[in-house]
Amino acid sequence: MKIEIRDLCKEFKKNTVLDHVNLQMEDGKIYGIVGRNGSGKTMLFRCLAGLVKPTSGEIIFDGKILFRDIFAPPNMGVVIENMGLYPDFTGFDNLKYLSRIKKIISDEEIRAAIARVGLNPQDKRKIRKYSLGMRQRIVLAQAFMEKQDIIVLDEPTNGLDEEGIRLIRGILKEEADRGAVVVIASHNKEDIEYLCDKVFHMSRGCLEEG
Amino acid sequence: MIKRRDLLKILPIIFITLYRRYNLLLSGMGRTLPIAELFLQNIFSGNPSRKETKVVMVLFGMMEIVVFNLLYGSLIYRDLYESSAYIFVRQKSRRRWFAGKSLELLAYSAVYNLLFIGITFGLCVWRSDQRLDAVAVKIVILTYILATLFTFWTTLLINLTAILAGAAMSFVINYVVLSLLSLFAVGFETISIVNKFPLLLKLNPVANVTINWKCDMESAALSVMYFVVLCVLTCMGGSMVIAHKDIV
Repeated sequence: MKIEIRDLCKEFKKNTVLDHVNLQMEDGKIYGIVGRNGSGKTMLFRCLAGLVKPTSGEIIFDGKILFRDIFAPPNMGVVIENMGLYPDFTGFDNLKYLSRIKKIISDEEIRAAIARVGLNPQDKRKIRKYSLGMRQRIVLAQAFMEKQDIIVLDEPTNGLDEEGIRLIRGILKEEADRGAVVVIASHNKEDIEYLCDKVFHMSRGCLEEG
Repeated sequence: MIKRRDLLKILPIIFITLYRRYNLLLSGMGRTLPIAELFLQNIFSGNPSRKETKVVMVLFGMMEIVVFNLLYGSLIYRDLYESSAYIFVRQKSRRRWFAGKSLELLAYSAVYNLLFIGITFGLCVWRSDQRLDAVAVKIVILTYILATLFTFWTTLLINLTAILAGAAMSFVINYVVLSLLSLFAVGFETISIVNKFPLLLKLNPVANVTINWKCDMESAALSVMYFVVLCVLTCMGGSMVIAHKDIV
């Protein structure tokens, strides 16, 4: 999978959130985006995930332009900050609900995805009863469960304990080794240094390699 | 997936209907009335004559619909902001998701109105000494279809307005518009600006669910057709809103 972001701009009421962003990504690599709060990282991820329509510019997945040739990115797993799952479902039910959209994985594979992030697939508690770290793990499980070609994670280690951070870092490495394009935004410098093949810095909507 | 919590929200309509139809339960009202007439007296504005209907009667008569609006007015709106990111990256089309949510809302409306209309009609059959006839059955079926479509339509509109203008604002806008439509429906002959355009009465949703259809079967069928078209148009407009909405 090859992803190309060309001259991407997003404005909200004359406020420029993304300013002519250019980026190329290839499979098997981990890309890191760092930047202060409000620099535009999450907005870039939302555009990449097809949740927000750019004001101008293009996002191209293997030659197909998002919002022109396709209306959602092909085979993408995503974690967006402040977006949770259904609080009244169990972790398994949430993932089952999402898996019904594509219908490409079995119940066993869902259970395996939950176990992979260190949670108990048999847990009958509803998400509202989960701790912050458990919620983060289950959201990450939905991003990995269908063996997506592209994985876009906004602050993937938020709320995780040390053991959880190590586990998720391991999974991200495995996903990249499998051939997925992995893009992460993180405030955690250690995450970025340890994981990423290429690091970009975002400031006031502009993206620079460095 | 229909959520159990959303489905259980329907149940209060049983108690609301029984409480609001206490006249049928406790008094000796309507023993000699035909079932169809007794039912019409107990549903919506309660009066087939526009001249004898008051705005307050229309609004009070729509209480069950307002309850449904309150229970399900954030069904689509809430899902859109709760976990839509994880749904939309998997969906080839947002329109398909919206169509599914609209059908879910229609299903809730159908079950809700089955209880509301069913209990009311059951009480009328139990209370009246008259025999159940074909007219009564036709009227109850038409009322059920009208109530289901009207309830669905208003709730869908509240959800869509919430997506565009915020949850609290959507209820305010909806009830201001409903009150105005009720005023125009009842006071059609007396409001000079409105009565110059008879088509306005035919196109008034509140008039179609409370008064217009009670004249004869042909009017009732027209009102049903009107709501089918209205729901289809609203769904089409809604799917456009969802397809172009930024999920921020």
